[in-house]
Amino acid sequence: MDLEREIYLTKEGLRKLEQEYEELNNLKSRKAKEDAPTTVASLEVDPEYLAFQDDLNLLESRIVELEIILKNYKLIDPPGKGAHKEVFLGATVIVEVEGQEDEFTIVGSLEANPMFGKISNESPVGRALLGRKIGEEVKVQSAIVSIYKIKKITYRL
Amino acid sequence: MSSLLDFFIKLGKLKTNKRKGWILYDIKDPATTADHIFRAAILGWVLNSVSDKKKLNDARIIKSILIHHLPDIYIGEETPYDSLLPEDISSEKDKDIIKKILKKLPQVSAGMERKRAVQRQQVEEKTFHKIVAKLPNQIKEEIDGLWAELNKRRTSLSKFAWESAKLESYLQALEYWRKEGKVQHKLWNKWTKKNLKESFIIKFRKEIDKILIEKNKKCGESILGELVRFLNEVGKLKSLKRTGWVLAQAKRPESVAQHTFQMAIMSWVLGKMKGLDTDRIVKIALAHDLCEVYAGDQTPYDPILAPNYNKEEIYKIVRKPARVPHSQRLVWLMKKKETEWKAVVRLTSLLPKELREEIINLWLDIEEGITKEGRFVAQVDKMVNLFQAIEYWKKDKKFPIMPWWILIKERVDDPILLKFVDELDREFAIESKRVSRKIRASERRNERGRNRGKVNSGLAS
Repeated sequence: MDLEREIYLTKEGLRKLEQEYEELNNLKSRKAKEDAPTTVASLEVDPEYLAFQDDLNLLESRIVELEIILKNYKLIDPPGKGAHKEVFLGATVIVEVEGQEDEFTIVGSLEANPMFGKISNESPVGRALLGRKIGEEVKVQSAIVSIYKIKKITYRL
Repeated sequence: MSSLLDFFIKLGKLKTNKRKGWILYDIKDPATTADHIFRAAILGWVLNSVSDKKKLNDARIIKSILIHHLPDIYIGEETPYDSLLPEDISSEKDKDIIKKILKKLPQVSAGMERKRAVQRQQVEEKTFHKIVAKLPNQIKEEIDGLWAELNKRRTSLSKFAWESAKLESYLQALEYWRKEGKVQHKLWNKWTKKNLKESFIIKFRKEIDKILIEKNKKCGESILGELVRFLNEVGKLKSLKRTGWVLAQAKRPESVAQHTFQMAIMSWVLGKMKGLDTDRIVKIALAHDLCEVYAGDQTPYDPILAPNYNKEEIYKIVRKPARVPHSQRLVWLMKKKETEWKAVVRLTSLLPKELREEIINLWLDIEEGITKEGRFVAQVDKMVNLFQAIEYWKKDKKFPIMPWWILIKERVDDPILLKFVDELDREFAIESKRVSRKIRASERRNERGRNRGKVNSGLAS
């Protein structure tokens, strides 16, 4: 776990990690008693449970990682109503870029999943959008410059 | 970072370097060195994991195989026939001569063979050190150590890794023989019997023979038989072209196997610099696209591409990033996840339980971002795509590079990878300026030509 970076979590993200932490600790104690169930590769199996089933080192290291996260996280709180026209962490932003529209929710690195529209606050686009307001054009620098025009900001988290 | 970029660009040569042996046999669309390395690394890994002897370090086997052809970047591959072959093996007029040569094993004295092997080893050694010379120390030391062990072939691990790679070539030879009939499978069989000496490798070679030569179906029901089938299926990724490049009309689009090879090495090197568990990283990288054997290579453009679109219509769409409405994208993503999950479960279904679960877990890690290594490799995957897109753009300036640049800035947030993206940015800017200068110079030349034409026609009138 990279402790130099702030760990930001949404309420939903926090709930999931707390639940995972509890489940993995249960799994660990059941493994110690050697009564953990054997896994079957099927669609019904919980992927995270499956991942740690047979790998004690992996299980241990994930538990340690979760402990660090749960000790050091900062919860993403939506800003007060007066600030809803500005992009803060947790904002869902509708942008126009190169003539196309897209929607991003800005989250912390741990919860980022760009394919699902969740982009990290530490990605160049996430960083560039933070602190900007509706109507502003945000330039993301690279050999090819892209301009993101902010059309709408909402807070759903 | 610039030394890494240089190293990764050189690695790319192994993706286009068609294997000399298959060219000699005139195989259609022959596997490249990278294709071979990809499956050889998987073969070494899975075979070691079911070995009846004391298990070796599987990540070290994988890493040894990943680097074993590095010198070929400069000196190309060698075959046992090299001293007998005409200079230009692609020449039409020499095809019959080559066919004749391939009909029997090369008749070279043991002394000559040894001399040639020593010479080759010396050149490989020199070339290898030239390739890795400028890598950061922490990664150079590890790769140097692996190379030294592999080259001496004194340890069980190095022998196992080397013979696994040879066995992959043998498996490929038999697959080509069954498919196209052009390979002298009996000679290959003789060669492997003479040169592969590790007991478990021999056992597996016999299983391959039973299934692919004797076509004995009953034998295929054993664990080793299932491994042969698994590797046959995985081998399909050598000829599966990546959809994104096909849609963008890249010349010579890479295969899924070639992409995986490059990704495994890049994730390993960059992961090492970040201090991550690179043993886990190389395995995640090798496993990450295995589902595509059955699920195919899906792209974010799939929800917006109609089946009746022609090449031009597709090209127009892929010039921009795939921006699909959120709800439509979610439906497609869930369907994709399910298809890929079923594919990886099906592919591994007959493997021994421990191995099956290991592969599924590694695949899940990159999909779900379960460990920091899984999250890192997922981002490297995006960066490798940009890297490859730039390589295509360098060769053909019509290649639609813009979407890759835009998306990388949305998808990557790891500081080390962002530094590497900055390096790509600089290289891209230099190349762009060079191209612009070339275009401007050509425009000036045309302008001068037009002016001269005007003057001449004025004089003539």
